[in-house]
Formats: sequence, C-alpha cells, structure tokens
Amino acid sequence: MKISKNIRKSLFEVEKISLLIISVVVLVNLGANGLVVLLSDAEATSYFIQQLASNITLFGFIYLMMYSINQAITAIPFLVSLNCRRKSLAKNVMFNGLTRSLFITLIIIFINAIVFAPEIGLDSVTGIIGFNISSNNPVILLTIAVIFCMLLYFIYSLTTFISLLGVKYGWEYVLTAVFIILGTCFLLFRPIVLLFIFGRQLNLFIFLVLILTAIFSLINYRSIVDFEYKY
Amino acid sequence: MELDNDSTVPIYIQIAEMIEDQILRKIIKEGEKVYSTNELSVLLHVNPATARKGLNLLVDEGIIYKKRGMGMFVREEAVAKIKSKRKKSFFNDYILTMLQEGEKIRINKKEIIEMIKSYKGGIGNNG
Amino acid sequence: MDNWRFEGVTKAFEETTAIDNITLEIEKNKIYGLIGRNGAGKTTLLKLLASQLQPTRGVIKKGDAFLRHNDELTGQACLARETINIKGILNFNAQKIFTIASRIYPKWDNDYCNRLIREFNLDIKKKYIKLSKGMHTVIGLIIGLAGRAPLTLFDEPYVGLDPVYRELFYELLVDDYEKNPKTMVISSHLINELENLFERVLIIEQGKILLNEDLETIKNKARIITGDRNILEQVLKNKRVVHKQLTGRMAEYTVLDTLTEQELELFKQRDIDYSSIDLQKLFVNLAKGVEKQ
Repeated sequence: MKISKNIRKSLFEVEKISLLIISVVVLVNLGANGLVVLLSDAEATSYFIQQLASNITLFGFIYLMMYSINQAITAIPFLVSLNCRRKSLAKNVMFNGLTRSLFITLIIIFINAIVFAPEIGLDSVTGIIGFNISSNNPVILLTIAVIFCMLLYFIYSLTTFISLLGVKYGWEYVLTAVFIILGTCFLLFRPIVLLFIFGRQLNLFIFLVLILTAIFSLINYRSIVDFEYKY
Repeated sequence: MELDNDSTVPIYIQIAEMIEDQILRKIIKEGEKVYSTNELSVLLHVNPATARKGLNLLVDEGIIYKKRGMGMFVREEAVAKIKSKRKKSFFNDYILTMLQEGEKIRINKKEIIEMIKSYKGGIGNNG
Repeated sequence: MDNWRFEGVTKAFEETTAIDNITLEIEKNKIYGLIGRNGAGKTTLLKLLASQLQPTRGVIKKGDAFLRHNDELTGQACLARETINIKGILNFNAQKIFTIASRIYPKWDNDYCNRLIREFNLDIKKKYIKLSKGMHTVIGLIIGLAGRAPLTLFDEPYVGLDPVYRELFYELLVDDYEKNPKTMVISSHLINELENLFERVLIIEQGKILLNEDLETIKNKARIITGDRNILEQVLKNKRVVHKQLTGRMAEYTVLDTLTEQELELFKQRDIDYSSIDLQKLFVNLAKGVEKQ
C-alpha cells in the first residue's frame, strides 16, 4: 500500500541520523582494531579478530536499541503531529523491528560464523547456549540464528515499550523500568549464566521470550494507535 | 478600498456600496467586468462567502449581471439605476440626520436652507 | 449532516481541565475563527479536532462516525502550528520536513509548496533550530496550505510574522479557500486583522464555549449601550448583557442581542446612546464579564 510505503520512508528519514552515528562509531572501531591487528603479532591477531566479532555483535544490539529509542522519541510523535494514519504507523513500527532484527542477526551470525569457523583454526571457547558453534552444522547455525533474532526483537519491543512509557508518562517511569529490569537480571544472574553457556532451561527461556515479546508488542501497538501529542 | 469594521453596516453591503461608488465615478464603466469573488476576497481580506454575497446583492438589484464562464459585468443602465436608488434613500440617509442634529442644537429649517444656499460648491449653484 | 460534532467533550490533564464539557458543531466548508485568551483551551480544542488528543470524557464525531481510532478521518485533518517541539526534529531542515509531510498528507500539493517557499523566502536548507521564529511559523503555514486537507486547522498562524508576511498569508489563504473549499478553523488573538475572514466565530474561555455565531449575526447584535444606569437596568432587563461597566450614575452595557427599530427609537428618546462594537472589543468585554463571575 502506498501509504505504508510512505510511512516507512518517513520513518527511515528520521532513522538516517542514528544510522550515520553508528556507522561512524563502527568504522572508527573497525579502524582502531584493524590498526592493532596490523601492528601486532600473530597470536594477538586471533584475539583481536575475536574482539572485533564481539564488538560488532555488541554494536548490533546497541544500534537496535538506539533505533527503537529514537523512533519512539522522535519519529512517532512527529508523524502523529502530521496526522499520520495510526494503525499503519503501528504496523510499520513492528515491521521495522522485525526487519532490523533479522538483518542484524544475519550480520552477527555471519561474522561470528566466519570468525569462529574451524578452518580459521582459532581455539577458544566457542560454546553458546549449549551449542558448539565452531561446528559447521547448518541446523545449529539456523537454530542459533532464530533464537538470536527472537531475542533481538524482544529487546526491540522492550526498548520501544520503555521509550513510549517515558514519552507518555515522563522519564521517572523509564528509570523505574530500567531498575526493575536490572534488578531482575541481577536476581536471575546464576540461571542466566547457566543458560548462556550450557543451555539449561532453553525451552523455558524461549517460551518466556515469546510471551513477553507478544505482550510488549501488543502494548506498543495500542500505545501508538492511542498516542497523544502533548507538545 | 477600505472596510469599516466599526460600522453597523454589514461587510457585504459595504462591498456592494464600494462597487456602486466605483461605477458611479466611472472607474468601472458600464459593460466592463467587475471584480471577481476571488479578487475581492484577496484585496479586502474577507471571506469569499461575504464577497459573493456583496456581488449577489448587486445582481439582485440589477446593477451587474453574470456572464457564464466569464464573470460579472456592469449592466448598461447601471449608473441610472444606482442614482435612482440612492436618490430614494438620500432623504433618510443624509437629510433626516441633518434635521435631527439641527433640532438638537436648535437650528431651524430656514437657517439650514440659508446654509445650503450660501454653499458655493455642488450642483446647480445658481438656484 | 456530515459535520464535526463535540458531544459533552472534556479534556483533563494532570493539573488542569483544558476543555470543560463542550458540545459543539463545526459545519463543513466554512472558515471558523477560534478566539480565546492564552490558556483558554484553543490549542487543545484544535488538537482534539485533529485526533492528536483523545477526550477524557465525551465523544467527537464526524457525521455518524467516531473520530477515535478512525484512520480515514485522522488522515483528513491537518493542524498547522507555529512550532515543532520535538528535539530530534530541530536538526532537520525545512526540505526534509516537507519531504516527510509530502508523504503523509494524502492531498499534498508539491508545486504549491514550492511556490509558497519562494513567496515567503524560506531557506529550506537551513536547520530548523537556526531559523527565526517567524520562519518556524512559515513552515507551519506552508504545511497547512500545501497539505490541502479537507479539515485544515491553523493555531495562531501569525506568531513572529511581520505584517508583510501576515498579509501575504491572508491573501494566500483566502485565494486558496475560494478555489478549494475546505473546513478551516483559525485560532487567533489578532482579531481585528482576521475578523473579516471568519464566517463563524467561536469564543472560548476557561475550556467553555462562550459564543458560537455567524460573524454577521454578531455584528448585527453586538452593541455598546451607555446611559443612566437605572434606566439601562430596566430597559435591558430581558436582553443578553455580557458586560457592565458602572461609573457613578452612568453605565456602559455590552449587549449581544437583537434590538428592534422601536427599541432603538425608545433609546434615543430616553437619552440612551448606542453604537456598534468590533469583534475584538466584544471579546475583551465578554472575557471581562466571565472574570467577574
């Protein structure tokens, strides 16, 4: 639908700035790491390549969060003030989250698969959530990719939820929400570690993520459709 | 062309009278095109509905007419019509006020007539 | 009738009630003037009409359709304001803002937009935050005009504009309205400049509608009547008096009611003066009248 496409294009206009910022950061980081790789010896090289991979992974997460925050604080209020069609806007916000989660998943999996591929011969702990990712088994890679994508989309929904909360009710609520989340992570520290390294209770984890994602997505949809432009 | 917001006369009537004045003074000649609704509303910063009402008033009084697709034009006998209309209301619009004011400050009709006679300007000066 | 209707609408914020139980009909394809003091509720009313806010109580409809959750109706409105308060947008330039707007408003007229940019001498490459206040208003005006929305709302469209640009805007507005009839509501303080543009006038004070009349009717009915206070009290007993000013034995009444020829004759006989009153003076006196209560 032309309207949907126009809204997507408009959301992208607002996104361009955060894209620019993150690109600069990534390039600088790549450059710095690359320089170190060039100037150091072979042993340090493998270490730095792994560092690179984990940096890019981290950037993926950060970018997704930055994107969702920027969208909630800037793009959504602005488009509401321009009398944008709300249902279309809400759907596009969900859609954008999905596409970006997918895209980032692909990049991260790709880079990590290369970096940790057995051919390159890096020896390090390469287990993640109980799977051995240094094996080339495509099924394992696919499973990890799917779980990763789900996790990313969950984080996207959560960040969008918190940002919209802040826009609607004030930033005190954001702080409260962030503290609740950090508190939860802290309390569940041991189970989380067990999960990520050994894959304990993976099924429960996936189930929870799916439920929470669904809940937050629904709340976000409603928030956008009912969004009030208070400025 | 200026409108008087303080006057009791509705805006659309003021607009009609303005155009009548211009026709009388031959600024717009008989057979010529008059302002369009659009031109009037832009010139005077008035709502087009008001401008239209003023023009329609002139159409009703037979002073202008609408040529389909071309706009409003002054009728051939417009000047005569306006003069006759204004002559009829001349007494009420001007003379009555003058007489009432005269009453207030105790000037009688004879004095008023003398004032009129001694006025050097105007039509028919020697009578 | 396919008009917009507020039915018992209240809008309450944490600290204040901006709109207090308003029932109102806004007729299609007319230019409305929305007049009120600062904080009277003008902007809130416009936002409610544009679906950018939802009522706390009551409903807003167009014809039989509710405004709430109605994307079709949301897309028909355009609210032009003198400023964009969103931090992230402050670094955009006008060109980017218009690009986004052109994609959102279904009837956007890009040629008209470019013409307006030229007429107002707007530098579309300059960042929003670096533009003057007047140019912020111009951006709002251009969005309002080029949006060509069936319901176009202007919130104080003259802030920071010099008289030359103000006149230019009035001319453009009236010119476009004549060629493309639409429903317009213009909120304003500058009553004298704008009053002839209005077909109907809404006066709002403390969230309530004090007046909802055709401009012509107001001009016919609004008068300042001065004379002996006792006589006035008696003679204007059954008339709508919106404001009284008493000075010694004299009184000045602001009246908004029909007065027949006979009644006016009577006034003259009893030494009562009457004169017409412009919309601005009427508004000021109306507001003062409410204050006293």
